[in-house]
Amino acid sequence: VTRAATDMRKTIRLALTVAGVVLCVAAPPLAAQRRPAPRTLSEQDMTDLMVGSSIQASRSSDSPGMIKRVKDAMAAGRTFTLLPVDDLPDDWTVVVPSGVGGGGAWDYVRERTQTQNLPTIPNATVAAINALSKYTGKTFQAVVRTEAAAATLSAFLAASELGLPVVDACPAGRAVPEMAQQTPFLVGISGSPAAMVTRWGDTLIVDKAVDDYRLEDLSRIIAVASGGGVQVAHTAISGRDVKRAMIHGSISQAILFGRTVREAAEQKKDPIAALLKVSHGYALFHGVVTKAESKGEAGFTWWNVALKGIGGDEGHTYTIFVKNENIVAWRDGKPDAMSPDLISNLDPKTGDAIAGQGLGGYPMGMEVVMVGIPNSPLWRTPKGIEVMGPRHFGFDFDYVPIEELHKTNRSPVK
Amino acid sequence: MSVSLTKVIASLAFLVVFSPTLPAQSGAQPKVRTLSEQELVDMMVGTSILCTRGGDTAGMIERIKAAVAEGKRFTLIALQDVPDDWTAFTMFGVGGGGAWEYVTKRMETQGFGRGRGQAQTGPTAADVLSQYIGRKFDATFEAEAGGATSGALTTAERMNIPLVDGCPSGRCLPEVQMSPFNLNNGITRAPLAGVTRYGDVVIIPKLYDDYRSEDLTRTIAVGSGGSFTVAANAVSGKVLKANLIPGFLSKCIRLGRAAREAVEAGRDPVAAVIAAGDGYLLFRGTVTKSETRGEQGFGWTDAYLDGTGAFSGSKYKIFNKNENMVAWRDGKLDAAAPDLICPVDPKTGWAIRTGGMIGSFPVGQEVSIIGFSNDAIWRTAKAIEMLGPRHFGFDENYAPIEQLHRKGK
Repeated sequence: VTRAATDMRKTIRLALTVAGVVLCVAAPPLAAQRRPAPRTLSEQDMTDLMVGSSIQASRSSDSPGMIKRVKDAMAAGRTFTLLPVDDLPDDWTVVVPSGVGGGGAWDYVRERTQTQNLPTIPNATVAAINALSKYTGKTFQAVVRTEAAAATLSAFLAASELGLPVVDACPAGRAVPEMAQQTPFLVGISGSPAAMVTRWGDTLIVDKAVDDYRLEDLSRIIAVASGGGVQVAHTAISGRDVKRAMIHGSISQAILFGRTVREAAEQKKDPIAALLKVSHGYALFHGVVTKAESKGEAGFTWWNVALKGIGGDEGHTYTIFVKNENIVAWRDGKPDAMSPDLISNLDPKTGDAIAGQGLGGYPMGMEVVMVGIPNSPLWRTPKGIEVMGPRHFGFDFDYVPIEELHKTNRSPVK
Repeated sequence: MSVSLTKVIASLAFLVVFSPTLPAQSGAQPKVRTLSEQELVDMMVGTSILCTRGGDTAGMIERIKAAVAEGKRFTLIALQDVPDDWTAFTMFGVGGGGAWEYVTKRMETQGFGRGRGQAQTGPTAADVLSQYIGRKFDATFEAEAGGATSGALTTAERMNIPLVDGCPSGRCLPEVQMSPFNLNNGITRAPLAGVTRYGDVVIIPKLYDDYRSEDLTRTIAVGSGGSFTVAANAVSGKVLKANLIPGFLSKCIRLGRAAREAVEAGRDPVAAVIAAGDGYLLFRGTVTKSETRGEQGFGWTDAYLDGTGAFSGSKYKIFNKNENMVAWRDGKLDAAAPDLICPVDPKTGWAIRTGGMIGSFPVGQEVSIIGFSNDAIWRTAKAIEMLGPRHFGFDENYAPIEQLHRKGK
C-alpha cells in the first residue's frame, strides 16, 4: 500500500508538473482567443458530488469509498475543475471515458493471467484517453463523464491527471448498463472511434463500429476476456455536439443532490423529503430487502430484487429488475418506474445510495427507500425509448414517464 | 520425410550460402510463378487434408475454378525467393462455436442478416493494417492450412501480390498464440487489424503477449456472430524465412495430385496420399459418435470410431478443439499435436466433410485417419509445451508420430 501510495504521489507530481508546463505554454494564446472559465471545485463540492452522483446512479454505490479517493487525491495536491456547458467552446474536442464490465468473465483468462503473474498498469483510463488521442490525432481539451456513480470519479481523476476540466454535462443522466445508452447516439453521433485499454495494458482501437450497439458488444466482450473490465475512451466530439446532444448541468445537479441530503441530515430533517423537493422526484416505496438473486453473465450482473413494505407501504411488495442498474420497478406487480427515468435505492437515514453488494446488488434485510426522478427530455424521444426503455430489456410493455405513473403521488412524504 | 527434410536442408543451405549476396540482387525481379488451374485444384485438396479436420474441399474447388474462369491469376513465390526487405503479412479467421446469441439476433433484426455483404463494402483487414502501419504489403502468406489457404489466394489475387509457398503452422491450429513468430521470437500478432462480418473495424496496436492475441480476437468473434477476420504479423522477408515451413503449398499440390491420379488410375487414394506426404495410416473405421459443443469461440468434439477391415475389433478416439489434437487407439496414445491427425474419405482421399460444427465428424461414415509428422520447427520442447497434449489438459506426454508408428506397418 505504501509503495502504491508513493508511486501514485510520484505520478501525480509528474502529472502536475506536466500540466503546469502545458498551462504555462498554452494559457496565454488560449486566453487571447476566448476565456472558458472552469471553476475549481472545493472538497465539499467534490464530496457532495460523489453522494449526489451515487443518488443519480440508480443502483447501489460506494460513496464513502469514492469520497476517500477524492480526499486522498486532493491531499496529494490534485485539483478538480468544472466547466459549464455554455462556456465550452464549440471547436473544442472532448472525450468520454467509461469503465465497461460486470459478471461472467472467462475463468481461464483469469487463471492463466494469475499463473503468469501479469503486471497491471496503474491508470488504464488515462492510457485509453491517450491512445485515442494518438490514433485520431486530436488533442482533447475537456472530459465528460459517461454516467453517474464511480464513472464520475474516474472522469474527474483522469481529467485532473491530464490537466483538463470536466464539462458540466452527461450523456446518460444516471448510470446505464450499456455503452449504446448515451444521448449522442440518439441523434446519430457515433461513440467510435474508441480506444480500449485492459488492466494489463493491451490496447485496442475500434476505428469504426457500425453503430453504438456494436461498440457496446465489442467493449463488453473485451471486458469478458480481460478479467471482467476494460477502460474505454470514446465519443471524441466537438463542444458544439456536446451542447446539442448531451444533458446539460448533470454535475451541478449531482452536487445539488449531495448538498441537499447532507444539509437535511445535519439539520435533523428528512433527507429523502429534501431530495424529492429539489429533484422533482417521487417517493416510490419504503421497504426491506427480502430477495436479491444475482447472476453474472455476458459481462453484466443481473439481479431480481424484492422488497417488503414497511411504514406507509406495509402490506405491499416491490420488485426490481436490475441489469447492473435498476431498470424496471413494480409495485404489487404493476409497473411503477421505468428506465430511462432514475430509480434510486436510497438509505432513508442519509439519503445516499445504499452500499452495494456486487454491482447493482441489494444486501438482504437492508432498509431502502426507492425514489423515482424524471430523466432529461433528451431520453424521451422514440429513439431514446428504443435504446433505453423497457422493451429494450425484453419487457412487453411501453415506457410510461414517471410523472404519468405517479400523477396522484405528488406528496413527497408518506 | 526424406523429401521434406531435403527441402529444409536445401533452403537452409541456400540461405547460408546466398544470404550475403541477397541485398545486391534486390533490383532483380523476384521469381514469381502463376499457378495453373490444376495446381490450384490439387492445392485445395491437399490443404484440406493437412488441415487436420473435416472441411469443404468441393466448395473450395468450386470457388477457385470460378475465380480462374473470371480470369483471375494466382501467383506463388518460393519462401527462399522472398527478398529480405519485403513486408509480408497474413490474414486469418478466428472463431468457432459459442457466439453471443443476442448479438446475432439483434443484428438480424437490424437487417444485417449474416452480415457478410456489409463487410464486403468496407475496407478489408489487410487495407486497415497496411494503412495503420503505413507500409504496402509485398506478399502474403497463409496462417494455416484449409480454408486459410483459399483465403490467402484470394487476398493475394485481390492485392495483386504473390502468395508465399510456406506455412507457419504446417496444419491447422486452434489458438491464435500458436505461431512460430511467438514461439521463436516472442513476436505477437500485434499490431493487427480486423473486420467483423458486420463491418466493424478494430485495430490492436499493442498486446501484453500472444495469449492476449488469442483472448481478444476470440472474444471479438464471440461478440460478432462467431467469427472475426484478422490481418496480422506484418513481418520482413527476413523474419518470414526464419519462421515459415518452406514448400508447404507445393506439398499440398503434391498430395492433391496423388489423390487425384490414384482415383483416376483405380488405385487406393489413401495409400497414394500417405506415400506422397510420407505419412502413416493410423486407422480406418466408422464414426459411431461425435459429441460436439460450441463454447467460448471454439468447437469441441470427442469423436469415436469402430475399426473396419484390418482395424476390425479396434476402437479409436479423437479429441478435437476446432482441429484434431490427440488420438487414442484402444485407449493408448496413437498420435498427438503438433503432428497431424487427418481424417480422409477412403474412396477419394479427400478430407471428410465436417459433421456440422467445425471439427465434428459425420456419424455413420467410414473414415481413414492419416498421420503426418509436423515440421522440425514444431518439434522443440517449447513447441510441444505450446501444442502438445498437456496444453489441452491431457496427462499424456507427446511422442513423435514416427516413434509411435514404425514404417512399413
